[in-house]
Amino acid sequence: MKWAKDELTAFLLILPALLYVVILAFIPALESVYGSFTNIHSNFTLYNYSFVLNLYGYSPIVNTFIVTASALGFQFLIGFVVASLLSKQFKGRTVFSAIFLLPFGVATIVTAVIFHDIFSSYGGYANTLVRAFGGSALDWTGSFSTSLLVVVLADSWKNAPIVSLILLAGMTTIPPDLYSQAMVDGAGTLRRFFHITLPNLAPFIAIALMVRGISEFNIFAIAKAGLFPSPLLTTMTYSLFDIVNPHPSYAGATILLGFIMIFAFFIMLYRDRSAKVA
Amino acid sequence: MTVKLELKNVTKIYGKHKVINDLSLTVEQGEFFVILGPSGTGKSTLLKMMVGIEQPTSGKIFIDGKDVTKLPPNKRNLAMVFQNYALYPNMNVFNNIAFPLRMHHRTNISQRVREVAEKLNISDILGKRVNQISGGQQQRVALARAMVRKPAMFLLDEPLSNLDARVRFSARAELKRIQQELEQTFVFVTHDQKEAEALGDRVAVLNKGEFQQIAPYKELYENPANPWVGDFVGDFPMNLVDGKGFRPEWASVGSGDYSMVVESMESIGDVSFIFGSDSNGEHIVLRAPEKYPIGTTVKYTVNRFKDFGNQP
Amino acid sequence: MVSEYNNPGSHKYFFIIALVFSIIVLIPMYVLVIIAFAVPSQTIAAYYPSLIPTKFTLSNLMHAFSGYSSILEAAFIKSLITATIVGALAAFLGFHASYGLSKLPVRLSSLIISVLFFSTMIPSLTIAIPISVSFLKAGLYDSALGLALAQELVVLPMTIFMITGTLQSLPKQIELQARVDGAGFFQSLYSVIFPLALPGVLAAFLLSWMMSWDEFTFAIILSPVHPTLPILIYLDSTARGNILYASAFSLIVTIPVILITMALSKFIKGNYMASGLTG
Repeated sequence: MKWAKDELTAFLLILPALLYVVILAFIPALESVYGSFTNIHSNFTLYNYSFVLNLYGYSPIVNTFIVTASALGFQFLIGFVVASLLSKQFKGRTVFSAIFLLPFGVATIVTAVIFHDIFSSYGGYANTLVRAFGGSALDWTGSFSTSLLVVVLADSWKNAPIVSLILLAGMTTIPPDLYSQAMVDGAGTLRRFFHITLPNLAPFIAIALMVRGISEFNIFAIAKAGLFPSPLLTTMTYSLFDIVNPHPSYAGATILLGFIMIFAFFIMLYRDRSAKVA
Repeated sequence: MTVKLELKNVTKIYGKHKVINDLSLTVEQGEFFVILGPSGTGKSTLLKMMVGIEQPTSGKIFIDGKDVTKLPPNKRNLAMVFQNYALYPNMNVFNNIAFPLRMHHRTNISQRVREVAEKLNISDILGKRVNQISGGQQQRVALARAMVRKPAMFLLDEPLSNLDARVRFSARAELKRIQQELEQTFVFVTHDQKEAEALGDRVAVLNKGEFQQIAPYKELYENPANPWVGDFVGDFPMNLVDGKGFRPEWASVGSGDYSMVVESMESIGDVSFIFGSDSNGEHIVLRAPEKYPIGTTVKYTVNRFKDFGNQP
Repeated sequence: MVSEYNNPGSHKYFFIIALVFSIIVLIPMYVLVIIAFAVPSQTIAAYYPSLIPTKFTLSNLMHAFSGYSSILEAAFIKSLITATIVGALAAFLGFHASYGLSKLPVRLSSLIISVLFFSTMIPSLTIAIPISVSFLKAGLYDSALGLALAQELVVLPMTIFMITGTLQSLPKQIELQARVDGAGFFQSLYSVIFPLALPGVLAAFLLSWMMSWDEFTFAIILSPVHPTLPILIYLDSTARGNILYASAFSLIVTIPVILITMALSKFIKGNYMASGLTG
């Protein structure tokens, strides 16, 4: 141990941030969970949950999973392509990487407004494109499948940069010699991807999955702004929210929290397993 | 003579690893004291405990007779020069040198900085940023910053090893001159024997967390306490025959009771050294007046031995 | 050479793929700009709008601002104050916490980092609903300060990871040297460490500022009466169906943030997001 006094001082420096997180994140989260099992008179009840399920059924849960899985899948596809591209040396690489980062700064609600303009059934640019190919105008947000497409596109436009940044950070940690060795050993592009890139990237894939997956479960502003009219756990919870009687919304918030914890648990499991393999 | 620094039974353990093992040491006022050892032997740990960055697991450290074992570095009144000089990159040269004075609330800061800068020949670069000056100048600035406060003693952690060979040579001479002018106590850590030889009034040889020998360099060379010191000190390891050691210049080549087969040669100026093995497979280095072809057997006489007794 | 071997001839293809991607990335922003500056009959009022309008006007923006100036101004000021509190608090708490973390034994600091990271998993909604009830009691409901205190949660862990990264990159001896030169714990922290860590602290401030400027979930729940800019845009586009105004305001919101993103591109790295899990 170094001077114990300085360590105490160091701990005191962290304390405000730590207390902050405990008081404003952990305690409210527990309040939500506790509140979801009680009524306005603080008596134990499961009524909040049965009320929510009777009102919405299971579709918010199912829809949340569908949106999360689709958006994650699409973002990882784009993220891999962009990260691989940026890991190469070519003319204008720094300019391109700055352009690819731009949407990261655009507010989620602004993204929603823009994609609303593009996919509007009246005066939308997407329909201009459809007509150019001989199709007829679509009501994009009118059906489940097309609104899923719109919400995934909008969300991925804003968030794929994060995924590619994290994957790129991972790719730079892989020694180029590994690739040279594999090429000498006769491994083709696909084999190199599955046997070198993927296993070495595992921790970074886990981070990207964690960071993005949690956000996808929480997808709210884009959906709320009209791009995805079907209920999600977030939009449902928000609709239930009533500051006078918040208990039903606590149930929604707790279901959301529960699924995110389960998701995070499996990602941690994947990370630990891949760490052992590597 | 007064004792400046004293270490009493200092031990440092990291986890299960004993880095420093029961070291005791006294350094006199005004002494240039060198701690010499290969890398990874605990030199830096020892220095960190003297300066107060680390605390010993057990044992005590005294400066001017006062127990400082538990004092933080800013309460020990020491100056330190790190290997990479650790100049404050956000300050210019003047402010770097003035920093210790400001921290100790001294007055006449400007005058004092200029005095020290004058002494070290860096008056003309006081306004420059530290990344605009050469390695040799950086080393002087670090030294100036150490001197400016008139500390109880100086600790130096391989301060010459980042300089290129030419500058290092003159910097070494200058360091010795400054130490003698200041009449201050210097504790200097290095892995370089030439520095130890040129600078040290006494040299402590450190290996595996223990002092193997503390003596003037000449004595380390002539009269090593054990075969390890004999092996480590000197341009060539001490030759070992029948458990007795001898230096190349202690033997004369041509005739005698001993012999070895020549394996290679090296000439430095007029002198040639021949390397070979004797019948027991021991490596031998001899100083020879003439060249010997590889493969020939050379006879030699040893005029003087260092007897290690039964030591390993 | 960052990753796989690539032969010189393939550079041309990389360039072309990057160009195509850039165009796809830029089109949505381009759409926002033309809606703001082209005559509505060629954009939102056209059944099949063209990507290349021919008539431009400033009246869209003028109408949006003049018809709405007091509400817009109030939202702008609210967003500005909130984001500045969030950024300042993040820089202050983040710098001290990061420095403290660097001084603690690894076992303790990694435990604290896990706690911080764990807090980022809790959905904003789950936090926002109970604290809206507490804020109402405490008089913080609908205030810039209350909103800032909540949004701080989103940025604080990342700020700490970012500044920790900056502190780790500083030469370790500098601090020891300061202590030997006589600086106490806080003297060395403020007169030596802080100036050196300033670029990272500034980046953390700007990034936090930007995240607050864009934040939606806490803002809609904790400050619905006097909204911030993102909520104003939401109300215009969805509740009032006023797409032209929403697009004009979106442009206002986006410009400072794009500038910050460009300025910070050096600091927005996967490593910082990653440090919570790997470090």
